[in-house]
Amino acid sequence: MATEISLENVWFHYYPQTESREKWAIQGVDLIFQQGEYVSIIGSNGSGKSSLACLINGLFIPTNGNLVINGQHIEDDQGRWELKQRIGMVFQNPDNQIVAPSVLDDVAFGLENLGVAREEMQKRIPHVLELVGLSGLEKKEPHHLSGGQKQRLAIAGVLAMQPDVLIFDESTSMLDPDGRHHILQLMRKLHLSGKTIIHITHQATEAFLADRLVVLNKGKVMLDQNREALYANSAQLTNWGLDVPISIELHQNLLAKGWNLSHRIENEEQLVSEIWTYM
Amino acid sequence: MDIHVKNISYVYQKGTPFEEHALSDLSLSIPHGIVQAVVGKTGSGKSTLIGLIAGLLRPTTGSITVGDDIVTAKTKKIPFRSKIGVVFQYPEQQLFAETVYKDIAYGPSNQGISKEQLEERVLQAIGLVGLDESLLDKSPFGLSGGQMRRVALAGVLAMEPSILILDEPTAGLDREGSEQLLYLIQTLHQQKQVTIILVTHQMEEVARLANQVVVMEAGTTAFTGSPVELFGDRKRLERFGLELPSITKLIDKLNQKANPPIPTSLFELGHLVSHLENRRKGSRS
Repeated sequence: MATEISLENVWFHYYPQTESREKWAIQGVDLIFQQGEYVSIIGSNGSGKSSLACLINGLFIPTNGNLVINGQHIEDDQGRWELKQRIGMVFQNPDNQIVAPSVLDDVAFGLENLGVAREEMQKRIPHVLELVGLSGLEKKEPHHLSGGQKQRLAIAGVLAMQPDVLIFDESTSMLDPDGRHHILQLMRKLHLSGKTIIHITHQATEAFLADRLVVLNKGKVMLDQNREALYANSAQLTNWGLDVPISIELHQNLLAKGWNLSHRIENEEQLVSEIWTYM
Repeated sequence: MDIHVKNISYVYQKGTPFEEHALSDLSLSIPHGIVQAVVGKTGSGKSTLIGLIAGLLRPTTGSITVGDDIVTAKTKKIPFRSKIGVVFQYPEQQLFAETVYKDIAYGPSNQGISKEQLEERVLQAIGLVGLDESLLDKSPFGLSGGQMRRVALAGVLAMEPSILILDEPTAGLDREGSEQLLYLIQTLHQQKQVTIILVTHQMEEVARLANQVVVMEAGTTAFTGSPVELFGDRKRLERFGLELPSITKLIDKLNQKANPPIPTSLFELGHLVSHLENRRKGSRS
């Protein structure tokens, strides 16, 4: 299956009845996500990233504008229910997503709610546990897992429902470096298997692992570019309170000191080689 | 007030089937007025160690000396508890009062000071964390995440601790929030000569702030030394499962083509820029 997501001039207000212009969490966003893309959505605290994530998978309903999936407008509860099966969401805190007393039961929970047959569950569960690297821990109590393992369990629960799209909302921010590394590797692996990955983060180093980056500020899309183009423009990111890779800061600093380097640098290797050539 | 941790061990739920050895034979000295970073994987004993230094736990064996006071397994009342401020992870989750003022005032109001002194402490603390006094009458729950965290920190600072323990203070904050908080920590350290114990997973913070760093592994110290020493040995760092600060990674890349190499002890971008400038001038003259 393929899922193409399209947001058409989407506006969102948490309290639409108290309409004040500043409080619009999302303001006129147009975005299209094709099946199989790996996209990062970056923005500072309060930029509307999480609101956008909830709009994409139908948890929130746009105050104005449309959510269109494969050309179909999503307008009713039935449509949104189907959407949640196609688009899985992994949140920040794994403790909030784990419900069952064992790893196995936790993965089965979502499937039971969907009414998946037992034989089918027995096929899917070992497969997803292997995919996230938790095979052998089926009987373990989730609260005895490390933070990173818990987050992988949460991902397994979502994957078992076989979504086309996975949204990761700051899913690495509460993990230690090991845990983070595993989740980032898993995102890449899922992307290579054809899933759409939408990674919401404010960490530049993580965002730049994606092929395409969308910059959000005060509910608006400021930039929507592929990695190389955004890298070349990324000095702007600081304007929106965002982190930039250190190589970009170095590049900007050297330019300011009058170094004769290209103004457009697409990656670290190019910068390193230009610095030594200039020397 | 120097801190000396001597041969301590700590066992959770000793004598029960759930007995767990969190720390064993750990020794560490923290001279007064330094920034001490504590790093290590989840489960390595970092939180237990800070719980012991803060006087929230008593060691199973060994002793902890803070200034002139000593704590062992037998100590009844821990004398230095009020001198040590602890800011736990996600401290904004511990805000509770109906106004920012009341929240900040809660801690010092238990220290037996006059109303005037209390007000002075609150005003000073909110100034220290860089928040406007107009927020004092507001509910803490209407503030942004970064602001809430600073209110929580102000509540601890208002108790005027000599030692401040911060458990992952920037976790979950964006660049602006993190930068402000790190700047605040640096200022506090310099102006008030407070000893800072910083538990973190962020190697950039270790590189930028710490005078001394301890790596915890399986309940004991695997390394104690300066950030330069820690990041100088790549193999050991990998064995600890720690990352290099991103500036050091960049210097490594630059060094693949540099002779002589750029020193990896440069942890501030400004220093790297000056170094490159000097080299360029040298090569042109």
